Amino acid sequence: MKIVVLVKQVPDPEARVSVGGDGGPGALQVEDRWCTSYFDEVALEAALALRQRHGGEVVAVTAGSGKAVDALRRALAFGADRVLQLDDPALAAADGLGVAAALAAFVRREQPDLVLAGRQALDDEAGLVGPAVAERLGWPHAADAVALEVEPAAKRARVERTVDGGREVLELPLPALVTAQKGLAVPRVPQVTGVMKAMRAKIDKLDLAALGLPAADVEPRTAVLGYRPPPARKPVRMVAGDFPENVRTLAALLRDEAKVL
Amino acid sequence: MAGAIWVVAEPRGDAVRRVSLEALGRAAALGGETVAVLLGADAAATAPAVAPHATRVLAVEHPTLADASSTAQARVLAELARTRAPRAILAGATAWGRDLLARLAARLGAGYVPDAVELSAGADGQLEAVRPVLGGRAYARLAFRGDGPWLVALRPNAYPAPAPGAAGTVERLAAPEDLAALPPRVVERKAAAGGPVDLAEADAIVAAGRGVRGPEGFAIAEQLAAALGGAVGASRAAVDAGWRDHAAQVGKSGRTVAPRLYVALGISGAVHHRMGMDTARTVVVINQDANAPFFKHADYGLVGDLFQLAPALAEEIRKLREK
Ligand SMILES: Cc1cc2nc3c(=O)[nH]c(=O)nc-3n(C[C@H](O)[C@H](O)[C@H](O)COP(=O)(O)OP(=O)(O)OC[C@H]3O[C@@H](n4cnc5c(N)ncnc54)[C@H](O)[C@@H]3O)c2cc1C
Ligand SMILES: Nc1ncnc2c1ncn2[C@@H]1O[C@H](COP(=O)(O)O)[C@@H](O)[C@H]1O
Repeated sequence: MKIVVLVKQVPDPEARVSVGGDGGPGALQVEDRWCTSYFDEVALEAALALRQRHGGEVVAVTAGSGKAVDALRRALAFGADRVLQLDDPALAAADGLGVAAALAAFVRREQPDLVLAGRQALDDEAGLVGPAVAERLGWPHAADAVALEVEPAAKRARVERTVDGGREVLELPLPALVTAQKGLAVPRVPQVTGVMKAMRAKIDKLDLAALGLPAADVEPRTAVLGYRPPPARKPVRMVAGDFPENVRTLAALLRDEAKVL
Repeated sequence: MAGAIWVVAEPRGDAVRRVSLEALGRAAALGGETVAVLLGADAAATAPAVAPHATRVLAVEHPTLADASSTAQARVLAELARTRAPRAILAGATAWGRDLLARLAARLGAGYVPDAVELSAGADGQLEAVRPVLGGRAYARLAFRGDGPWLVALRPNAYPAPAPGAAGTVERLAAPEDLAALPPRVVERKAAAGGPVDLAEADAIVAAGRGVRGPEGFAIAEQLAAALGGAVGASRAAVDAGWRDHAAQVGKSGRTVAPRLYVALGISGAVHHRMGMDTARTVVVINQDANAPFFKHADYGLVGDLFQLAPALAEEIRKLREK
């Protein structure tokens, strides 16, 4: 069985974020600390578990330049068989739909049985790229998977997914795309030797021309007008007093000041 | 300013989710025609829930449409959108709405803003949306390119549900026959372990962390949530310990919630947790450690033992609400 995993390098959740003075499109400042998006590591781990069980190949792909390649090194350290970087100047300005177009073109070339992605990337939290790749391929998808069983011979997958209010079990024919929710797998901590080897690996690149994709297909459909800091919360009010007076004070504040009761 | 704004209403029992009404209210405020789109076997039956908030209701009917995959639903909507050319298509930023709009955006090649907290009229009849990025540590203001339709998933509780007005007209349409065959197929539905979790739209959320010490500790969170008429969430530590279903996890690797009131019991306030709830209106933190980082990000803080404080707070709130 052949599995393609979509992986993305994102600013570390603990990286410092600030918004510069003019609040324009270039105002977002993010500390230079990166990691592979958590749900993509979950997806990768799930792919490796399927390989263990059914044999085959795990191919990791990312779209982007610069730090993006580190997600592929991470995938190699996890144990991916092969990695590919989609790198093209036109992709630098792309939004999620453009990225999805490039990734879908890559998947079409590879013809895997299954594509795994994260439920959402930790930076833009769009939850768009997975389903959009599936739509471009005309494949079914299942989002937010917490369990995944595949029957390669029958070309069938069974997914348990979280939905608002509970869970659902879905059946879908392969090829299909599944996005990983926390719980689908627990990402490993790769061994140092694997990390070292991945650091030295040569990473192959493909540009849009190689994918046969016109640049117009990755043109952004949205434009960032600017950024602003999140709304500031007033300084905390610590409710003083002994029990149970403090509880009464808090309840009264919630009713009369915050007006949430 | 041509073109209507559509809101794809999310079914919930015999009615629709509140966020669908919030989106209809916002659409109406932006001017122009507001169309509520219902998808289902007997979609028109739900029309009374949305008609007082829309100029028109489009009830698209097919025996399998309510239970159909987002693939089938997106196909039906894309066809309709191509012939009727709405200016924008909105849905609630719930699991259902986001799954559907992501597919629809790709099908239409249309600009899409997931999880918007603001939607307003820009220049020339354009729309502008604001959404949190990087876990809410910055807000991005976005415009759409091209002619639309523009797609927006609106976060629950971003706008108030509107007061009912004059009922809009209802138009029934039949969806094409071949929908049923489009996978995936739902073979089973399960309630979340530990009772239904529906944090998406909850007005109040009581979240519990490692400090509640076990699944039994969640009974205290349940009690307080019941007094507030809210739902129960959890920190990752509590979920990883197996005390609560994944579906309840709030935070970076869990879900993002934006209730009017968020009460944290025995949660230290790691950045990963806060990223899932920073846009809550009022935040109350109860922790025995006066130096817990969460206090710096709260509106009200109470230092002490949650096992003593939370039940008493539940009792007090019950009393206040009865008055
Ligand atoms: C990539 C990544 C993603 C993550 N995603 C998430 C996420 O989505 N959500 C999330 O929550 N975390 C997430 N985390 C984990 C996060 O960093 C914290 O480890 C976690 O939130 C801690 O949970 P906690 O506050 O319940 O536990 P702790 O940090 O152990 O805090 C327990 C608190 O309870 C208090 N306490 C104990 N007993 C009592 C008592 N009797 N009365 C009152 N207070 C008491 C203690 O003082 C303490 O402050 C993530 C981490 C990583 C690396
Ligand atoms: N540039 C990218 N390269 C590879 N995969 C991506 C990229 N962007 C997003 N993805 C995949 O799509 C998922 C959802 O991303 P998003 O729609 O941005 O929230 C991620 O978890 C990745 O699996």
